Amino acid sequence: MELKWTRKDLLSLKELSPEEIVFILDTAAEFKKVSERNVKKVPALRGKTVVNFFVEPSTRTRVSFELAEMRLSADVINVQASTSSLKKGETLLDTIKNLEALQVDLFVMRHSAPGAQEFIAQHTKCGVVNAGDGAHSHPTQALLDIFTIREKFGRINGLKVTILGDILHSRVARSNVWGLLKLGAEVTVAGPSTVVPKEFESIGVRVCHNLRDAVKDADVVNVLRIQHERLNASFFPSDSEYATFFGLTPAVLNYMRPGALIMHPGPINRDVEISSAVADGKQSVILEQVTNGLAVRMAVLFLVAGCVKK
Amino acid sequence: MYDREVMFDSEAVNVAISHLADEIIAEFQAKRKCDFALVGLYRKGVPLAERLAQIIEERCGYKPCLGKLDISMYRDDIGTRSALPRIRETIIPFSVDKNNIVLVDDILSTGRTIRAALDAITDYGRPDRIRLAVLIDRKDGEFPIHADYVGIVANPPESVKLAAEFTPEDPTDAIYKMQW
Repeated sequence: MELKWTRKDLLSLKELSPEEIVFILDTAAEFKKVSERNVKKVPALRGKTVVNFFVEPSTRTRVSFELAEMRLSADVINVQASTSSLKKGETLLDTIKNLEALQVDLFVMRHSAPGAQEFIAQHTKCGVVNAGDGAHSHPTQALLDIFTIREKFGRINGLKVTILGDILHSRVARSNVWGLLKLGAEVTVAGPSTVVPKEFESIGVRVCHNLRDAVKDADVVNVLRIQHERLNASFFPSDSEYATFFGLTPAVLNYMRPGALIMHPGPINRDVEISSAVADGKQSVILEQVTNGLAVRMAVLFLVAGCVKK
Repeated sequence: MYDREVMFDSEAVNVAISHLADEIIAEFQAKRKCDFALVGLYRKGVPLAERLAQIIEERCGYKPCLGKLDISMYRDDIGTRSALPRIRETIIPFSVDKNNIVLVDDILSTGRTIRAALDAITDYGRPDRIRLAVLIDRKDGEFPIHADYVGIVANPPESVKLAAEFTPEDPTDAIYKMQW
């Protein structure tokens, strides 16, 4: 029996089956075509109201979601925590309930506390799409990364993917690991041992603290930003020391596979985790990730808004 | 569970498809417009459109452009279903602007699929004309949508579901009726 989509929320890739992940990717492939034609819009979410509720700052993810919602013909409301009544002490749940009383249909939410979106999803009849919860999960970022890889290679199964950088504090890394492993990739996480602990082996990835070892056989290297806003202790001496030992430079590319993809979720710290020449070079698909992010988010919104919440 | 029985066998289906092809050819040859495109609607409109294109090529010496359209993004019941089927691949490999489009579907019932298809195809461009070819017209429309070319008119009760099958993806050509 062919799989049908039944989820009203998208909180994390951890709970999705491989078939559900492929379902989203196939749906995204169709939505990518919408943005390539003259009329870049479909009426799918006409009359639906989506609230982008971002407690943590964002430009790229929020703009991508906002454009995805508009291309689905939804009405869009943006709520930023810094200018909301959260500042007056209103609880998160009260904020959501007040918005729900305005007959909105869907929340796209980013929060610094892991599990916040899961909590909200249990307390609202609206659908909830997780746009990032602390260092836990960022499902649409991983989905767009996987979509980009699949578009280039035609598959995920058997590919060697290295995620390079501050894995410990990265929701992008965690979501990528879950999604890639479910689809049969071999995943390496690499970086300084302070932010790439050995314990990660227990989730089925290879842990590597040497850059050359980590990337020499990789089909894909996904470079993560050093997230200063999450580092509340000293995990490495300085940005320049990080760049020396773990920065992806043209010299590093020389001992990688010629067709290996270079990815980055953005925003990039040029010449820290990745040099400009590599970020702008022919193996980089960083801008394609952005294009694909729009398609993936349109697909996710369409699917979760398309289902009745039980 | 439901009972499934053959309503129209492969011979009847072939005669109906042939008749559809003749009607399409007749209109476009009369207008001296041999440039038109067939757009099959998922699921069974797609193999039907391919069959029609083949027959038209055999009879007229030219093959019309062929497209496939999934109308999931244009449905009027979004948000009401508990399970969503996969969206299939829409391929429109020709310009819709100033073109003659023949939408092809296996069964015309409520008309809602065709309403969605009209909205979808006109988002690809501004065609000169749109025509509708269906194998079976159930004559139980909920919208004022009518087919221009019809293979068979069949009007079973509302409780009877019809399903079409076409070779080569199915073992044989047939229209089945199913009743709970």
